[in-house]
Amino acid sequence: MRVPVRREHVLFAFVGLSVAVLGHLLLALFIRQGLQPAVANVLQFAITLQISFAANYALTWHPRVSGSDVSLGTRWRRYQLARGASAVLNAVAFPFLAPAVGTATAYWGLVVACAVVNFCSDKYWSFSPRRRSTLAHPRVLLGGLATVLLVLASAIFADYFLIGVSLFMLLVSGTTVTFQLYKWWWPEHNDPHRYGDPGEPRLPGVILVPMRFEEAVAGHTLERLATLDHPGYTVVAIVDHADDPGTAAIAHAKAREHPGRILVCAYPEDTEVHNKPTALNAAMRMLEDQGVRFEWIGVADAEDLFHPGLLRMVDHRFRASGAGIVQCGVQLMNFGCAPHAVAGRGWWHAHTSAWWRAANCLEYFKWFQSRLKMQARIGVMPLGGNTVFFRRQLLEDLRERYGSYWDEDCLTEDCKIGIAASVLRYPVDVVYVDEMVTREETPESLRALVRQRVRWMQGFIQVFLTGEWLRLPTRTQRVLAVYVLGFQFFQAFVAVLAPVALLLALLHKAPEAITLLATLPLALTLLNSLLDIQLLAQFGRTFGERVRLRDYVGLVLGAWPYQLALSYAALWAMIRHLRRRTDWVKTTHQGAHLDTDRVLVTR
Amino acid sequence: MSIMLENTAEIRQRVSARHRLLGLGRAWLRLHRRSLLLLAPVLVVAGTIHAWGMATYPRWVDDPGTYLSQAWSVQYLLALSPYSYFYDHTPAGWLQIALWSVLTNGFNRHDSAIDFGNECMLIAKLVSCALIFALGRRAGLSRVGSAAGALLLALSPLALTYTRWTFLDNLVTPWLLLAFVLAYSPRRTIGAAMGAAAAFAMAALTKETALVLLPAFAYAMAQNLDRRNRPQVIVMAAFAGILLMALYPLFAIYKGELLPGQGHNSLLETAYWQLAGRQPSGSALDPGSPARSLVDSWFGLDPYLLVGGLVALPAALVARRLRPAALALVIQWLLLVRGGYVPYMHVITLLPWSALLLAGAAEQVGGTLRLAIERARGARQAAAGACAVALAVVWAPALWPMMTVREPPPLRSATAWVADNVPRDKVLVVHDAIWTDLVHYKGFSPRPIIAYKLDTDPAVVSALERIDYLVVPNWYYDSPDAARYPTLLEARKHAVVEIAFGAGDNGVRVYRVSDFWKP
Repeated sequence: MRVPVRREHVLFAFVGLSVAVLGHLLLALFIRQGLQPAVANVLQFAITLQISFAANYALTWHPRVSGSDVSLGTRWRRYQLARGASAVLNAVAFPFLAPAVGTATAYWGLVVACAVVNFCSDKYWSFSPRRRSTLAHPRVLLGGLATVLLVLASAIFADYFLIGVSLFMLLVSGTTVTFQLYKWWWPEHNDPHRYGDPGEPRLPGVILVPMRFEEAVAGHTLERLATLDHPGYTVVAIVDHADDPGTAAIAHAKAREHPGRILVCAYPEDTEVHNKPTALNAAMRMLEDQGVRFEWIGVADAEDLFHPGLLRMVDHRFRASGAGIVQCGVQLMNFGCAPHAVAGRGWWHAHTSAWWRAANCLEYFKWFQSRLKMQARIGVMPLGGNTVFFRRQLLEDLRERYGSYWDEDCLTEDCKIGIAASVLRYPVDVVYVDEMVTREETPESLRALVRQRVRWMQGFIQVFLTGEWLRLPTRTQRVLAVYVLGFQFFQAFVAVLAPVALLLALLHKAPEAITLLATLPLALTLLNSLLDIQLLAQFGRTFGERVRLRDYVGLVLGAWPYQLALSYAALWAMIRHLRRRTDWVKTTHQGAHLDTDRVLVTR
Repeated sequence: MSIMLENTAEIRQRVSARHRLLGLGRAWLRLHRRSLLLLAPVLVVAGTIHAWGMATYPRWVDDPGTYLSQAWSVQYLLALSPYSYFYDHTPAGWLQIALWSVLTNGFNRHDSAIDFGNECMLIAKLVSCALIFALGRRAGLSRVGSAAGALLLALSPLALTYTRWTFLDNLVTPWLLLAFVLAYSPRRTIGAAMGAAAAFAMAALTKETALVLLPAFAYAMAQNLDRRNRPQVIVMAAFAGILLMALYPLFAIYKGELLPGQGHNSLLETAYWQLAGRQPSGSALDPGSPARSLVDSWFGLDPYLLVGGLVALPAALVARRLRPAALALVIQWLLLVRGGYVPYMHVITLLPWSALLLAGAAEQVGGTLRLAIERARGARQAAAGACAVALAVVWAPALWPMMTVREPPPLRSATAWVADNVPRDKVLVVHDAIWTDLVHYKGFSPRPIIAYKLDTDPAVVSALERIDYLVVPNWYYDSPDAARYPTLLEARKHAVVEIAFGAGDNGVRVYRVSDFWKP
């Protein structure tokens, strides 16, 4: 999320400052000539606008406009419109803002805000190299305008705004903490013997492994999956013969080595789209065709090494709990500064990325140990994408109701199927046994992490808008569904905004009671950091990893930037959704960002 | 498949929150049926004894008036005090009183603010008794033993006198007991631990002196930890308690009043004065010290409960769960012999622990007897019950006069006379206890000046132009503190008595100050 100082920033500031100075000189001149102040202002604005357009066109944005097919006239019109609008807004806002926050604060605040807005409107609209700009979508503009109005209103009615925002933030962060502590709320929830003794397995099952461009790990994974401790199960590797012959060859070799245990399923050739739900549905059709006998179906990713005893536990839990779905723990492991955490990437990379990797690992730790259990208990379940096991009956019911097993058009098919199962009132059993969790690694860069989050959040928006959750039987479930699908956007923002709210209350000299109220959300974010420290220590003990002091320091100092990154992802997901862009899978398919998007395909 | 339930309505019934709550409520009632049947008569007795005659006994003193005037100003002036708040006590106590008044229109339901304060204390007493019962149960006492503990608090003449006064300590007691009850939650959830810490913080916010019991509270919490959620419980409870308590210094910081400075009050300055600047009362072990005479006055009302509590301390050696309560009692007694300043109402902090320990010790003795005598079933309960009944018999003669005082407090009569005979625009200097009555019920404007503020509040001093009447009890002029009120004493020299109510120290004379004298 680094914003490097670029040529365009410097030039933009230079042009802006010189034009401002020029404008003041002109204004003084006009006034001395005896013009009315209002007329003088308008005149000087009209002149400086043209000068700044010329200067920005020729200097600041020269690399962006050269070779573009957008005409000068279009650019000029856009520029006049955008700058004019920001100037008018400015002039309207100042008289309202000044008494509320003080003249100096209002003036400089507006100057900075205008500079940022103008820069963005220049870059992405007026001087965009493309004809249709990234941000110029009407819905995005409308959303932006609503945000601006909201910010203005909040500055004018600062006290009420602070009360409302603080209460809302308290609600969000309070529930976040509470849900995250579900596992420890009652001592019994953390009892070492809570899952019971697995005993002899009785139910036959199938494990589906979609694989694409996984030559590095495919052989190892299939070998491990073929030798789990369970008498009756089949592994189905789903490979794309035309697209990825390498992985396909490995899968076939392994199938020959373990006849009867490993089957190979071909990814449908008649589609351009490559995604996980399509692969899973294809495997289901194959199983039906071949008449394989099974009671449950598990999903694994290509790099997942299941614990040998996992299937016994799953078998036992299906029988003991009567659940329709058994979700087992998935755990990101590489949290620390130790170089082995980022295989082969070196000391520097390990230390500069430790802060977000630790936060990312802990998210999984909290999610699978606590949140999912709480949600399973209430009956609203966005599932994890792997190490999840479905009862056959549930999948048949899904197909009967929705026409397919997994939704091939949804970005987060795992979330969608979980909600659908809840609607069908199948209970879900969440199993987190420390030694049995499926170990995974964090995305390889912060950028990849953000992209992954954008996709998940966009998927959650999709699931939310399909409205399936409205059919959940109880109100508690529906409220929780709104919370799970919708509130995660606010969660990131709350952590980012909490210090801002307190600062606003202090600067604005709000009454003490309101300032105290505005302090509480910040206190809760501090609490989150405390809990994270303690959780990281527990994580280290559980998995026998040494946690160093600098890991803790990175976790604490990185907590806020991490939320900032998540907020960025949330914002981007909303913008993408407003622009109706759901082309994650297609971009991956083009292979342009194959490396960074590997995670997107497989998770 | 048996897991599929066909009927939607049935599912709704099963999982709807309201239905579950109702079910839980019924289950709770069923589970605690016997306790409730035993507790109800105890509370009726406690309430009757407390409420019968509380308007006329004990006499009116300063602090209730102060707190009620502050509660009144919270409700009607939206300020923590009618004068500038100077961090003398943490404000949660009168915020609670004000909240009760806001919710129930409290000040307007009575003729006098003191009566409203009495009502608040009655509620606090009933809650305290119920919580003693609950704490006794959770500390391992039988139902009868726990009820005996509650009865001891309800029937002791000493407790009756001091718990009838509107003191902050009487509001601290329920919060402290609640903190210990929740600390012993059998479910040992994070929520219970957070509730316990928050209740303790509320006690400290009600009156900061409750903080001295932190070791006892932490001990109780530590006894009840479960290794399966210990780290989380510790973090969350500590956070809840510290956050709630931190609101107080944060409030001072946000007002710019934490550190001492020119022209404003300061939390730290007042705290320093309270801890180090006050006249020490001496050690209670030292005959002739003010602390000793205070203790003697308590013993004069009732020696049995206090001495009984001390005698019962060894019982805690046997009963593990009585140890934190014993520690609390020991800490509060040590404050008396330490030699520092002892507030008048310090005894309130001794009472609940003494009652609980005495009942616990009686059970222990009964238990020992049971070991000695074969087939003596119910000996523990019998011993605790006998202890309570015996003390009730001893106390009855002292209780009766406290419930049957007829004559109204002199300050009350003085208020009535002032309301009938003094024009509303006169400047009155009055005792704390009648300030709210004169302002709220009698409509004096400008608002009268509380005598104590006359020389201590810079804002009052600078605004003072004349004084027309003095309405203060006689002991005010003769107390050792009188040197702190030079203006009051000077005004009296230029005044004549209009009318007198009562006699001796507690009597009240209404003085009219000469028009020719200016302060």
